[in-house]
Amino acid sequence: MHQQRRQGRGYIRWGGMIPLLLAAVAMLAGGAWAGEPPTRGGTLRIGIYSDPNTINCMESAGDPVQQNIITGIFDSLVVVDYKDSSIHPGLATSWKQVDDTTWLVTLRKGVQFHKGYGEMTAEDAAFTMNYIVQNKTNAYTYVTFVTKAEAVDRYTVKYTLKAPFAPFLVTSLFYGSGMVVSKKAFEERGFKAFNRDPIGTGPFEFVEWSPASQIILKRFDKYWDTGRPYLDRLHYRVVPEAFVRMNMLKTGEIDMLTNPDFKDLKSLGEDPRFVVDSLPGHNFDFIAFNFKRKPFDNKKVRQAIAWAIDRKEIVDNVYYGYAAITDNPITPGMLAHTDRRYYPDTADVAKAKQLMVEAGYPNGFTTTYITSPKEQLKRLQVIVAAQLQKIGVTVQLQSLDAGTFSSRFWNTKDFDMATRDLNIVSPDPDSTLYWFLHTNTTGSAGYDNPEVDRLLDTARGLRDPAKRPPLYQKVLDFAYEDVPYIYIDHVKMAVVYTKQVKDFKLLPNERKYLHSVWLGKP
Amino acid sequence: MDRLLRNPIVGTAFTVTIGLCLIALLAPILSPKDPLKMDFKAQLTPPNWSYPLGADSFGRDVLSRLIHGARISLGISLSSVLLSVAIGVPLGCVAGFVGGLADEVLMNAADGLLSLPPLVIAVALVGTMGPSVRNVVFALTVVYAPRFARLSRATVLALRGQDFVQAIWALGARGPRILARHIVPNTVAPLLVLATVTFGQALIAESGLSFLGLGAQPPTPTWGSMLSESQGFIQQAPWLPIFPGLAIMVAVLAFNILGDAVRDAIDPKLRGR
Repeated sequence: MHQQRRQGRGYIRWGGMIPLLLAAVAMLAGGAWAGEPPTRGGTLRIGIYSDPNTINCMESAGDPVQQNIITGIFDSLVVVDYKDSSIHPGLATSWKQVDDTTWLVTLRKGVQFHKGYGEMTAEDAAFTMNYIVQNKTNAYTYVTFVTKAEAVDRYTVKYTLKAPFAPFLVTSLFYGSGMVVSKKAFEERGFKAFNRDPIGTGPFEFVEWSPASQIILKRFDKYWDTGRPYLDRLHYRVVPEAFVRMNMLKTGEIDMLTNPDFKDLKSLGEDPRFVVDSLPGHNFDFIAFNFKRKPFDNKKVRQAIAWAIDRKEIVDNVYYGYAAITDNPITPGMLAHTDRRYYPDTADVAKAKQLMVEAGYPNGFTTTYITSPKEQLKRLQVIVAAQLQKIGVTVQLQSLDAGTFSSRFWNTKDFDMATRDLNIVSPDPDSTLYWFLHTNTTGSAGYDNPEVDRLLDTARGLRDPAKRPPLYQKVLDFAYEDVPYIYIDHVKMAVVYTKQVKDFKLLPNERKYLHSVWLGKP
Repeated sequence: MDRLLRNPIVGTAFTVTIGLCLIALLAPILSPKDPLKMDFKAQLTPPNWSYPLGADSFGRDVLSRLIHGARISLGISLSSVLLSVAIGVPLGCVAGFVGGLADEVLMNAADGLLSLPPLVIAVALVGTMGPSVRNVVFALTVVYAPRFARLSRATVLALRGQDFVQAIWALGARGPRILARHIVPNTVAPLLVLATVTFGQALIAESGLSFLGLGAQPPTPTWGSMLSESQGFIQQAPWLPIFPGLAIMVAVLAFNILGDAVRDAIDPKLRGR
């Protein structure tokens, strides 16, 4: 079987953690690598499947490639350990909740920006947050509840929220909105230029971006975490086809590939030259219905479809087992996660047919189902279409390019049924439930349940984490009954790299921290 | 015609063409399995007795998909060629016969379209209108109709000056009647050649569009989409791309040979050899 390094070991050693903690973890983990000390130098060549939209953290949202790259260019204020959702220092060294809606964050001193843009101060942090809030850039998703940020002194930032928001640190100060851009560089360049040539404080600074070809980053010599990073350069090679990426890995043209085709993992794992690393990801695949269109305004129809979906068949044949079956969007490790299941792993066609009769569609109906260009999701949809045929629902697939899909899915809501995958960016149930189930949110496709709204609003305001899970369980009960979405699986994160690549830690999301990675002897 | 078919190459091409048309027409009867039926246990089965051409990554029978694919692929090509003739020929004839401003406008438009690479226009059109069989037919018609317009105009121009047309004029016949009764019938032969050759090209274009995901939508099988779906499995299951690839090649070759043969047959310079 393929080799797997699970999260159990030294898995919290990344981000911008205090050096002391790093050393401690390194000592713990050290045994596994026979005490081989990291060496400086070398270029890590990484195969990615597309250009990112931008490489500006303010524009960060779901784009996986972007997540992959901006973690090198920017640091976040706090760093979350995915194992237990605990919060550790990053660019911020400490934080304090003053009252329900006010947070004070103290910054690390002496952190330098790339290319001589000087020391990072509270001005920069406040500017980044305020720009996102005022201009509603993509990262606004993480900070919809933030009113403003102010620099109290050179190293202290005060954040004011509109309403109490319990997962503020995790949601707002860890992802794109929690990274810090250089105010001076941003004002010099302007938003558009900054999107393609950003200045951050991260371990690697931007060198060049040749669209559809490659993105190059180089070591930032004045990185605050002295001694790191170990690598001199990062070359991200844009190669859309998974099998081409795989062949490039085999011929030594790249050292690491992201987003492999799951069907290739078995053979790659058997190759002694490579390490295949995978773990269940913070993501979910789901089917969305348009509540504004017939017949999906009918609850029974949605329920019928939910019972007709055979999740096991999907996971086995789309992901070749590299996914965990689910019927809800709260992944393992997250607050309020539960093993409770409402829908079975396999379909209950008889029950689904019965519901179709009750819904008034004994002979089924014909509908459309839009697909994004992602190969795996297309496979998933072809299988779903075949499953729904069994209850008389004829599904016409419509392939769309990524841009059209996004705009029809998020903005114009121009679809009957749609499927997409979602990377959960904040490991808090609020992020996976609120943005889809609350009315008038970006993800909402018309689901409107005042009780769910109330539960979600209450849960995000509770300061005591222990009081939140029961409310989220109630939300799930509504989601099971009303079926605004059908959740299918959590796909595993997987990377493949050569044995030369050392100390890479895979996370359950697309962020790939490379500041501790080094290259061993070939 | 009889003499033509005695040529073994042309005879084979003719047989293949007829065979393909029959396969397309009789697809539901001929195909051994349901082309959409998935059997995940049979995923990527190499060719064997129960799956003569193997099974694809969903465990669907490749032979059945190929047979049903013929229907879609040939159907789209045929419809777009027929539509191109139906639109291009009347416009070309009118332009050639009437001349003047109508000729200017129509032929400049045609030249404009002809100056762009066909697949680029088709991709742009289908890309903006959204992928579907109807839109592919529309796009290919836009691409190919100008050729027919151009050719029929040229033929009409050449015929217009001929003595028999002048004679009919002199007898007092009116324009539309001359065009319909005396000129158009004489353009049939060259148009037939062009149509046959264009059919082959339309088939390639349709396959290209399907390959890009712009043709008939999954799970409907077309030769191009079968190629495209198999590209991730080339190393594990080489039979997946080979058979649809062969089908496209054989069909296009047959139509091209047939087109050449028809031209040879009706070209007076070659007649009697």
